[in-house]
Amino acid sequence: MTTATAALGWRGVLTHGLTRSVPEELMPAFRRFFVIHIFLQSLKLPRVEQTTEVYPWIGLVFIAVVVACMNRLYRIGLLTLLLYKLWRIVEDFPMTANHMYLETLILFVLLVFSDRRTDPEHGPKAEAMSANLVQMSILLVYFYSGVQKIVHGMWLSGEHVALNLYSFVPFGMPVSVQTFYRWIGSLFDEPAVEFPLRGASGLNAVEQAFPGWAIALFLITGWLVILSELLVPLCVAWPRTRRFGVWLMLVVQLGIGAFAWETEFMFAAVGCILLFFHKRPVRNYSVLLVLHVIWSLSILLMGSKVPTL
Amino acid sequence: MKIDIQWQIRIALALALVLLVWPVVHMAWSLSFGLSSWKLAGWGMYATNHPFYMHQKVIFLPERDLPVQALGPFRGISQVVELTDGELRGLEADEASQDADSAARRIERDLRAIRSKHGIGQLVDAWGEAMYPEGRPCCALVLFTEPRLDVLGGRAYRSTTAFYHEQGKVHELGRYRGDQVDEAEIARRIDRAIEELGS
Repeated sequence: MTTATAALGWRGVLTHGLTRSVPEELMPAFRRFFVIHIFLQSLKLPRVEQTTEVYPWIGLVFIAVVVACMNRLYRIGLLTLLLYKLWRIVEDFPMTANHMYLETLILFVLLVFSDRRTDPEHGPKAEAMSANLVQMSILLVYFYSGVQKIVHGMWLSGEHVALNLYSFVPFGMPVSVQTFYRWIGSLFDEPAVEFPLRGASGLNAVEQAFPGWAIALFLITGWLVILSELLVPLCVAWPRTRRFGVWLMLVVQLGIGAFAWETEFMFAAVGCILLFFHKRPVRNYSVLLVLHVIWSLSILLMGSKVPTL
Repeated sequence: MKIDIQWQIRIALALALVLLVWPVVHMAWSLSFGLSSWKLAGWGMYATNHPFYMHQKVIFLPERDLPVQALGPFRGISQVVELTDGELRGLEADEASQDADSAARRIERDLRAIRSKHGIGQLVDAWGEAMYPEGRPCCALVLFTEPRLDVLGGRAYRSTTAFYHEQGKVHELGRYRGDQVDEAEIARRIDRAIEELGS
């Protein structure tokens, strides 16, 4: 521990880290992007809940988003969205998806910490705290995701990747792994494999020998995923590798989104990652928002052909 | 609404601490007490099998004795069966028991995220009410089983945790892996564990 760090103490170090300044336009741009993300997400409610009774909720979310984009009344909109998110969490609890908790936390942060337009004196410091907290959240998601994969062991042994070959789920990671496996297999002149593979239906084990290239594929993929998830926050935390870490994080997130079809989380996460890019935040968030709208509308137009993620 | 800046700093510190500490607590919980790594914001998505790959099987038993063939195959994501004259028979709730059936399915869903003895007791009670309106058998064996794979050893198997419910009490019997012993031996071990409960 350096003398400066020792003098500050843990509280001082945390406070110092959380109050690093951010550009003026960053948080308003993020806030606008994020609330519209919540609205786009709510458009999937009728399919998720299988009922038309949710349309008034979508209307309420829309009004809340409009209010949250205003300069003075934004907190009323944010509070409404926070209550809506809490309702969604309670509805699904304990099966609530993790990104719901993250999004609720972000709404809480945006609500509690001041804005420099409404509080010129302390606003810049409060905005910095909210930006740094969101950055910290997304970094910890990657870090602990990597740590969890190590402690549970299924990625270290290649088991988690390989189990996707046994899955009957017609979307997401199983489809990606099965397609990738078939493609790599064709490079090795392997005969085409019928998926899903048959696992053990009872308690007796079933023999399942994989070719050497497949075992290598499972192991290398598992280790690379763990390594990249751990490397991202460590690189970002270290000033000399921060720039590399931020770009790596973007690549990893896009990879996760595409491979696991976790696009809903991907857009929220990329929004958080863009907080690390301090130049031209309005342009950055506008581009992301346009992509998000196009993606969400295509999912809605394709209707039931694309499963809900 | 304006919150004092000193309070904002305190809230920021508290949130930062929770963000740092909660996943560690979550990890300890999910490793030892049946919490799915996927749930409750511990950021363990994809670290283990998704909760819906966890098969749940409730076997109502007329007596404590468990024949070797009693476990049977696992179909779908959940089964409720009864053992009659040494044979397994699938159970289905009738029209009059739809409320109890829905309650049981809700508990079953929750147990995929957080498994507890209390929840298992509720599950057996709810299924008992749905399937046997006029009184259910004395005991029930509850199996939670998930697909596993030994990549290097080339074996697909199931890992099963067994619980036994009798007189309102739930006992954990143990965890059994199909790559280590065969099905008949697992049934024998479960039977022995039930017998030991009595002694």
